[in-house]
Amino acid sequence: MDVFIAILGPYLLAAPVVAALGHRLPRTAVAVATLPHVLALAVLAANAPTVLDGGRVTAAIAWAPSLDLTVHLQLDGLGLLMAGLVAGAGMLVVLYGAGYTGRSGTMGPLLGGLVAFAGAMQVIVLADDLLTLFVGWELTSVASYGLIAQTHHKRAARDAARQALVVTGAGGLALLAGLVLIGQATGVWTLSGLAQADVAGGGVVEWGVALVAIAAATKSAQVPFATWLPGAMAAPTPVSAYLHSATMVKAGVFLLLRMSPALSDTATWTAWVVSFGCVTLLTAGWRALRADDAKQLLAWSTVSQLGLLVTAIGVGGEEVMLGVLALLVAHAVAKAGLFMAVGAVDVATGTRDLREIGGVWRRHPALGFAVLACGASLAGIPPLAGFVAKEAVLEGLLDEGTLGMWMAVAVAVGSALTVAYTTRLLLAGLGPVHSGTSRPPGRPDRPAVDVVRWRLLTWPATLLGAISLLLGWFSGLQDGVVGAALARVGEVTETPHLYLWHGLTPALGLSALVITGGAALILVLGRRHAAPLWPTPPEGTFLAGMDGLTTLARRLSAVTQSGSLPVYLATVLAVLVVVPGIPLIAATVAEGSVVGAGIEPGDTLLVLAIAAAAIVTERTDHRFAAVLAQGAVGFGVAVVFVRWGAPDLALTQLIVETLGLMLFVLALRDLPRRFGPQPASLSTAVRWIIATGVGALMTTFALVSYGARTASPPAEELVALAEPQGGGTNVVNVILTDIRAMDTLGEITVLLVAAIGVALLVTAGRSTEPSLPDIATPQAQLGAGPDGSPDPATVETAP
Amino acid sequence: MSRHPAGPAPPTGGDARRVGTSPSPLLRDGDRILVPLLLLFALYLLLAGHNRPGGGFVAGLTVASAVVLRAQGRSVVEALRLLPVVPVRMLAFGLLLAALTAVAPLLFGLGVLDQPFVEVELPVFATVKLTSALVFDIGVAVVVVGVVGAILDAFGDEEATGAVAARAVGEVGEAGPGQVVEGSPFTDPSTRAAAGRDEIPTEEEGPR
Repeated sequence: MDVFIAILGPYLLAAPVVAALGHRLPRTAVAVATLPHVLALAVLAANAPTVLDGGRVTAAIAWAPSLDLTVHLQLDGLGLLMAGLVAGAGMLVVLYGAGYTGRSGTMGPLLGGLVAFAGAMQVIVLADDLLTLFVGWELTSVASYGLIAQTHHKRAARDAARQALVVTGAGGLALLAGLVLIGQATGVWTLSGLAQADVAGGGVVEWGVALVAIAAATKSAQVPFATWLPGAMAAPTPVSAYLHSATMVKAGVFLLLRMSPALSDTATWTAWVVSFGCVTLLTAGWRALRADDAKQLLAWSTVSQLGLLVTAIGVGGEEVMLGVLALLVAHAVAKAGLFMAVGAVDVATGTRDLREIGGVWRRHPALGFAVLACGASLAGIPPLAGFVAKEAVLEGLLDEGTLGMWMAVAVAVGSALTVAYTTRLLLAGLGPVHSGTSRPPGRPDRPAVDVVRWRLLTWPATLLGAISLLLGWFSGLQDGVVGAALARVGEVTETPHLYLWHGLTPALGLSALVITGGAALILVLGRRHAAPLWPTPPEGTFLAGMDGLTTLARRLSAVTQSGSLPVYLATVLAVLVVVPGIPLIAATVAEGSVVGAGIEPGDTLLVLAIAAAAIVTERTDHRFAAVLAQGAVGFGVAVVFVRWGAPDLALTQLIVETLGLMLFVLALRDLPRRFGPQPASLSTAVRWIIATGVGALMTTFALVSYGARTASPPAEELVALAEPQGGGTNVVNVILTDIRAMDTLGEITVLLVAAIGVALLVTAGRSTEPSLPDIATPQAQLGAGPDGSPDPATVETAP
Repeated sequence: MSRHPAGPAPPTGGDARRVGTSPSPLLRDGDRILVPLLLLFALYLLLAGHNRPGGGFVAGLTVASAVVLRAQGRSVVEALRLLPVVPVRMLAFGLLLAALTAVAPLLFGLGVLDQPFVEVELPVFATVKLTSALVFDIGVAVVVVGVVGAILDAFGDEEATGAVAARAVGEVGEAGPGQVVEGSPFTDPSTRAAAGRDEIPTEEEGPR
């Protein structure tokens, strides 16, 4: 338990501190922000011996024992790998982020958000039970939303954040549904339990698998859910380097890895997972060639590499999984390094457009090395880590039968594309700017960023490049951790070993073909602008789909949301009368059982008074009088409460009625004194019919329900419980704050949301833009428009 | 104190078409007596709620009615100065408090939302029961105050409220489908004016 508190606690505590301190004490803020990562790494290192030996550290918190709800946490091989990745990358990103934001006020929220996100990510990787995994999953979606919308005064950022939240949130829903289905079908609610259980396919489980696959696809930006990731490039580069290359998007892959021991035997698994992965791998790789904005290129590259990972997981197999795990690490390292380098280039030259960054690697050799090493690792060129991993994947795939062979071909094609666009990135920074564009040659560097900031911007990237080289050359270093992770993902029959030179194998031949193919591709297409200009099919259909959906939504809204309040009310009330009302009234009339309550003469007077006030409300044409009369009805009801012995209710009713009256008066300030002619949307006859129906329904319902009780009232038991267990004699209050406190918590959440809704609805009346909120046109997020010109929303978008 | 800038007092008397508040001396000066009384009463309701009629909801409503009373007599801006922070922050704080009360028992090995209570012997006042449900109730009260405060804040703009109300009763014309909102009461008052613009200039945001 202490292990998990030591890892997770600091993240929770540090995030608000960092966010608050960022502006006033930047250096302290940076130190505090790195602290959780350092602590996590220390704890992981301390527990590494246990885990590497095949052991697990576990903890369980029974937080609602009466409902059998327990939080299970585990630290096993896979968790060690991922947690180490999150913490290690996080540390570098914090330093990079400090350099990126400098002394501006944005450092606090950015670093705080990154720390909070990292905490949520650690919850995912350390979770053992399905619901904790889900909670972490959703928390990362929320944190990602907050981080993408860092520059929230720019429309592109807001739209991108919203799209990301919608897509990953929908995936989260699918995840919940899928996990619940699987849990219910198997009866096992822990990941470790699932890994050992024999999960029979068929029926409900297949649905669960499909849903889990969808969830993983949304999080890892697989086609057709891919476009949120390039859009998320509107976020500051540190965010892209951390979330959208190394950690959050790997959560989907991680989910598949966790689920694969249990679910990979089902038919749905292979079909769905491989399909998602394969299509993504190829289309995204092709799409990356078209990008002129370096961040867009890297975003599509990430999508494509994730597709590769997903494809390989779909095929499965021991050697393949070894390669997958190694590639997970290699890609995270390389991609993070590339993003950081691109961000540094952005700071130095003021642009990320590939056609304008000529000569950058010569001016900043450290960056050049970083991009060379990380890029080569990404492209799978020996002797870097990416090559080692891809080689293992290819070898494994070639051993997995027909499916494996075809997937190996797909991976090879995808890798060739990777070589092509990586080369393009590299070449873009060499040499002078291509004279084909009308821009001035060789943009001069901005005024120098101070040395400390520049170091913070470049050293992390260089370090990651060096790590890529190191892990490739001394590939055996990874064996321990990757091997321990492998043991958690499937059966291990031979000691896992990653090595650089496998001998003259078909896989090596394939790799050679890949490299030559990619180089040929880039030669053919030329350095300047890469690929033909037609949109790739999934993209086209996605755009068409979004447009169609928007049009349908607008038409539907025009019909159902006419804006006429009387019509809405009439619809609601009419349904109320017809659906439950008519059967109720008919049954009562038929049976003839109406029980009268103990009514006294004083009560009749009260009822008459309330009725009179109601009639006045309807009859008067003076607005203010109507409001007052309606208030009188409310006060009458309060008196009823007092009469029948409910002081809390009466108090609340009185005050609410008063408040309502006063707010009504505020709203009435600018309206004419008398009611005008009624709008023609509903005739008087219809109103009378509905009103009478509602009145009859309510009366019948009240009279019938009074005598309808068959079970004993719960009140006796609650009254008995109130004092000894709740410590109070006001039973109503004890119920609200103790016995049914969970309901109250839900209610005040609803109140909060309602208040925000009301405030937004009212202020919407002030808006100067009377237009429907647009779903951010996906075009704006795809980098180059159809005619090849750079879309200003992406090239000049906020870092 | 409250973040609201000092605003001009609303126009007095005047337009024969206007319904409702023109600040009468009774409201304007009477609220100086009534508001403290209401706040005191709210405190009583909050503390006594567990054993006598009262509770968090009613206490919050009472504070809210004090705020609305002041809004009637003076102006919305002055009324909201009664509250220590912006209504939205109160909403968040109240919910956070309630949620923390829900989760805190976990640290002591109890289940979620277990509300322990202790009896404390005070030398002069005799035994007093303290329960954690009181903290929960405080959270509820703060949320309720925040709700009414937020609604009041939104309604405070006469022009907008009148326009919205007029549209709703068909005086001006049917409302169109939902309107986009660029500014909101949750940002700084200065950015309210900038609502609708795509970018608001900031001092230094680092690399673009």
